[in-house]
Amino acid sequence: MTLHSPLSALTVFQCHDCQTLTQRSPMVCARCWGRQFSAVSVAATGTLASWTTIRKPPLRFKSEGHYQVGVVDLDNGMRISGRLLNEANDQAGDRVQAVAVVGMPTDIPVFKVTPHG
Amino acid sequence: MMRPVYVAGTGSTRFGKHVNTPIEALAVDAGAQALLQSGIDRQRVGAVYLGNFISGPLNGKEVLAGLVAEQLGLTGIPCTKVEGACASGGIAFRHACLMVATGLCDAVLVVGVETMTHASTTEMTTALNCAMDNEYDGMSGLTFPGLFGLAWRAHAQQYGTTREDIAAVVIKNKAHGLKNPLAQMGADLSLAQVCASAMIADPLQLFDCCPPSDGAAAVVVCAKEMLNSPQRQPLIRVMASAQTSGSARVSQHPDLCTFEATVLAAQQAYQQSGLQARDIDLVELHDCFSIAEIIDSEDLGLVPRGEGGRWAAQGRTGMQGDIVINPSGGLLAKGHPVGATGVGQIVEVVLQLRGEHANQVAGATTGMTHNLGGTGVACTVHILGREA
Repeated sequence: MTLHSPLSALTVFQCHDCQTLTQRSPMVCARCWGRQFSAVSVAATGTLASWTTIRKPPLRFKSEGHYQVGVVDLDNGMRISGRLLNEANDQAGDRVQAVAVVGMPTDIPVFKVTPHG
Repeated sequence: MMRPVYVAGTGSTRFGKHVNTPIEALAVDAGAQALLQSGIDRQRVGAVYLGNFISGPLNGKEVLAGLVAEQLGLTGIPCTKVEGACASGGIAFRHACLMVATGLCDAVLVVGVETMTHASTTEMTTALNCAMDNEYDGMSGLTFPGLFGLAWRAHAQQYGTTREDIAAVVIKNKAHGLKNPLAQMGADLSLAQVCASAMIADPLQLFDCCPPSDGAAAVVVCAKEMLNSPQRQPLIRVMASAQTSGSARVSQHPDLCTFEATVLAAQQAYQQSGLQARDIDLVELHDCFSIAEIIDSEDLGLVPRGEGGRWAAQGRTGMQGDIVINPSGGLLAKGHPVGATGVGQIVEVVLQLRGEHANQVAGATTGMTHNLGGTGVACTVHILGREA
């Protein structure tokens, strides 16, 4: 059982000049070439767009064996990729919640499907 | 103005396992075949472009273009290795075409080469993941089979594409590969066998994945005045050469069922050639995974959006179909020596247009190639035509 707890927010980065949001802090804003960014909090909830189970991982993740990767559309409109604490019957369109996972790096977003309803 | 570009010669090793042959030797083998077939004097070859992706991490070898040119006795000319992940070969071909089209060279040698089979699955996956944005998707542990597992689920959700539809692509291409002497892994597969193969990146299974491969392919492109031998009839002209780019991040693809780079490249290629999708007799497209063929066929405008799976299942993309896709066996059966693939596709189409292919499309006069790199970060589409 993976130990995890829900996150109240996710941190993303916002360009000072054009307000574009990015998952990580870039050197230059691709939209306006601005160079100043602020960390901002966005809702840690969204919708699962798709997911897969990686069974042949690259070297840096080999020790993890199998793991799930998902693409999530956050409620603020951003699409990001991250890990998924998966259940076998998860489906595109399911609601997801970002979680903190004991033992996992905090710079990889991790999501869990929330109960239906 | 640009001048017309022709393919004067082709060469290829068999795609497969060549574990005892150095990577540059494979390239030299294919390159020499193409040069000899072209009949063009080596003094007239003005440049060499070599497509390769991972010779550094997997072989500890770089400057391959210069190494290969030297071993072919082509000295003192610009020799450039081109890297664009799985689209490396297609990009190399395009740049060679541009050199001829602009008049900077009268003839150019293009080679694509890769050796991979000596590496373990983990080493190979790690090397191939160099084509991902490793500050974004790579950090989550996504792999390329994983990317297409994501795409599969999205396509199934959006269009109702089934396991059986997608298996039809595998069965077709493996059957085509049986007829192609250059192919690594043709097979007579049943639906049950496809469905029983090991899971790789759910729902993608082993037979949905192209095999890693060693191999090289080469072509000589030139201006029309260089074609002075009756041996080279019919003339094969490059009617369109398009190269585009897309996002290296899966999160920047708003629709997981399409690669924008392919859509753009296809539009440009149709515009350049004055042709439409219905004018294409065959296409060698980038079926790195079975679902990729379905997406590519839709992105190229060959099949209506969302219908790729059903067309495959109905045989409409087979040898007797509405559009013949991957008569070579494609990457799924011919193999995918990454840097060689784009050039190998050109070789396949040229053989078809000359009427010399072992799995010949009857009466083919126009063929397309489609070579896609990474998460759709690089794409080339070429259209070749047989001149009367």
